[in-house]
Amino acid sequence: MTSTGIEQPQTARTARAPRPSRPPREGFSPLQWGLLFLFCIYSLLPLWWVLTTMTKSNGQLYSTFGLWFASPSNFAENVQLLFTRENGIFARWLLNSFLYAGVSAIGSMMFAAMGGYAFAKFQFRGRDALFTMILATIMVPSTALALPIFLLMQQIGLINTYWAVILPSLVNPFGLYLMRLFWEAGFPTDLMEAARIDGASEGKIFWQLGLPLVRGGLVTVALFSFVGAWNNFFLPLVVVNKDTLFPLTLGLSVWNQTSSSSGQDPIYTVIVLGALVSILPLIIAFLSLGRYWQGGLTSGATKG
Amino acid sequence: MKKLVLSLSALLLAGSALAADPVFPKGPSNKITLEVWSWVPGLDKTVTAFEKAYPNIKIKILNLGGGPATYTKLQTAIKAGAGAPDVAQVEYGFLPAFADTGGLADLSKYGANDYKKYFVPWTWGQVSPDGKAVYAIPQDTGPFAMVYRDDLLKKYSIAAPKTWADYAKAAATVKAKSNGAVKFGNFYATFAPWFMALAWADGGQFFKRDGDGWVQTLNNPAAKKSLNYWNTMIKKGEVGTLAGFSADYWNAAGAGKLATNMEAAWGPGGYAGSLGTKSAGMWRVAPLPQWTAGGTIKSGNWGGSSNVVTTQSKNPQAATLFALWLNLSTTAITADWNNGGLFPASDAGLSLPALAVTSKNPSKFFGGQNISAVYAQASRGVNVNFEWAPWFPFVNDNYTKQIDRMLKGQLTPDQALDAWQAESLAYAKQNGFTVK
Repeated sequence: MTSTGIEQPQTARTARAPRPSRPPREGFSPLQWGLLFLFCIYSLLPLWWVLTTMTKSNGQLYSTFGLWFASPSNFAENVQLLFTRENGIFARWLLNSFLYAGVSAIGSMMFAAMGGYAFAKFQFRGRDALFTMILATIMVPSTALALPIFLLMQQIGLINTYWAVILPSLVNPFGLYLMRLFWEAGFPTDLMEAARIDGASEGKIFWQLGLPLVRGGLVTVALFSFVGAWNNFFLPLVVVNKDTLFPLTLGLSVWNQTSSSSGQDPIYTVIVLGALVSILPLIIAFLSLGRYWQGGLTSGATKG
Repeated sequence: MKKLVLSLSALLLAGSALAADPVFPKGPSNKITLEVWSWVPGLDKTVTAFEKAYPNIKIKILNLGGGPATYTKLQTAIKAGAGAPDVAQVEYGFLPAFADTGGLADLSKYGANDYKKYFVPWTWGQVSPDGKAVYAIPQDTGPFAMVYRDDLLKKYSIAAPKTWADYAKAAATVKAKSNGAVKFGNFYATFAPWFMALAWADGGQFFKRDGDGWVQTLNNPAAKKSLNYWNTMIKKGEVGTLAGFSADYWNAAGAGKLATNMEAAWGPGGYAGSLGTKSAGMWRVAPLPQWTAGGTIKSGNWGGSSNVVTTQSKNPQAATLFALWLNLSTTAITADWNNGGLFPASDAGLSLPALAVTSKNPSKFFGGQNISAVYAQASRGVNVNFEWAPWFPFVNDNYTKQIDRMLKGQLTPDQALDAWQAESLAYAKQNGFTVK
């Protein structure tokens, strides 16, 4: 085991310690500031458009200036339309998305943590071959898996159920790979062996001693899985046949398609509002969990 | 007395509406459920009437809104051999691709050919290219006509052009009188089916089944004539090239910077919906300009869709019945027009009372003109022999590339069409089609 030799004992918090001793960074030059500012505008402009569009009726979408607000009453109307259209099915989609993404995040985090632990801390026959195989599956695009997954779900009778979306999302080979790195860097084998000598059970070592030390990794994997499952479109499209099981991605896409087909009252501004509502949880997740996440990545980085 | 007369006339109306419906096949004697994938608006309400008439059949609808996602899902279920619906909505241009998978039931086995006479002839050509096997029941259509700004034409003292020669003359006049501020027409540079409909009206053929193989002629004479015609006006600045359904397009159309365009029967609904009060009442519809004056009106078709029955259906007979009822019964086609602006493929549907209502959109937006009458005439003038090919999705995308090169001046119209033909042919061959 290569990781045992490296003296990289603690987690995120200690990894940050050397920072203050570095000489403070010089400020950016005006040119750099200017470039950063432009880039910032460029990135935020679409979001700004989303914010202004929410205050428009669909007619105003084309007739008013694109980057400025129209009227607050339209905003209230759009909110009302969003949550009452088709008997308030949008709220159902929102809940579905939370369920799909939430269960996938927690489930795949736990599986990745356990699998990664086994690969990092135990020697067993075929370990490297197995790990290489898992790594190889990262390369398989998810669209290529849609048909096999569809057939599997069909055969075990899970088509058109919550499980059809959740089960495939629990598998996260990249998360497992990441967790192995975190276990190797964040949980010294010396510490594990010391615990064993002290009589701690294997379960206790994993759950109580190990897991808190790789918290950064857990959050990272959970966040990745959450975002992946939240944004998943193709899998639910293929395995779900009832609009009450749709996640937000699928539901909003159906509304968008319907809006652009003939003879329909277009509701683009309502859809834009729906799109904003659908990214709010992601923004909140990143802002609130970001510090764990960043810490975890840095500890990986210093390890080199 | 008045009441009696009213209820009598109501009875008569109901009677005549019923009389227009053909006799449908009998429903099943046991209870069954049909799954239907369709994006027709308000279909859930329409099927209630069907379930009432056929109490043994229950309909389950999945609406995915149409577009690529819907086809991907259907394609996946067909390839997997399980999970496909009984009935699915498919656009005409995509029918050959699905027929090629072997996943579509041949409806002639279930008596579909007995109902051929109830449909506008060209629509049956779309679902039954060889006149024997029937891959779908026609649903809605998009025959071509010309929408125009009546106020602008009056302002420049122009009559709605009846021929393409008149159209070109009018385009030059408007450019001169408006100093180039008003475009007379608009060429949709990214919609291959729009351009193909123009050539279709002139007898253009792009694909033809030839035994087990295909013949592809994207650079047919009608296509070359049409593209050269439009390119000349584009280069002179008389015709614009705004992207369809874009904000720019609606802004120009609403602000009086665009005088005419060629639109399918479902197009006016989009004008009414997207423009709202802007330029309301100023638009009119006239028949598609013709290459020769004085003959019967010839037209092409853009869009529209059909209902297929999959080979996975356990009740293909009942599924065929549903597809026929949905597209021939007065109840269903009236609801489809009112809820979603579906212009019917049913021949009797062309004279449906609901289509002629001028106090509601889209006719209301078009100054109260009975625009459906113009489109009904157009539908009767659509060439029957027009086929699509399984690799049409590629052809569709490649068109945009070649037209872009033409608009940038890198290719002449003839060269663009030749390149479109050559690249699409190479693609079809690569994908295992026997095609020349």
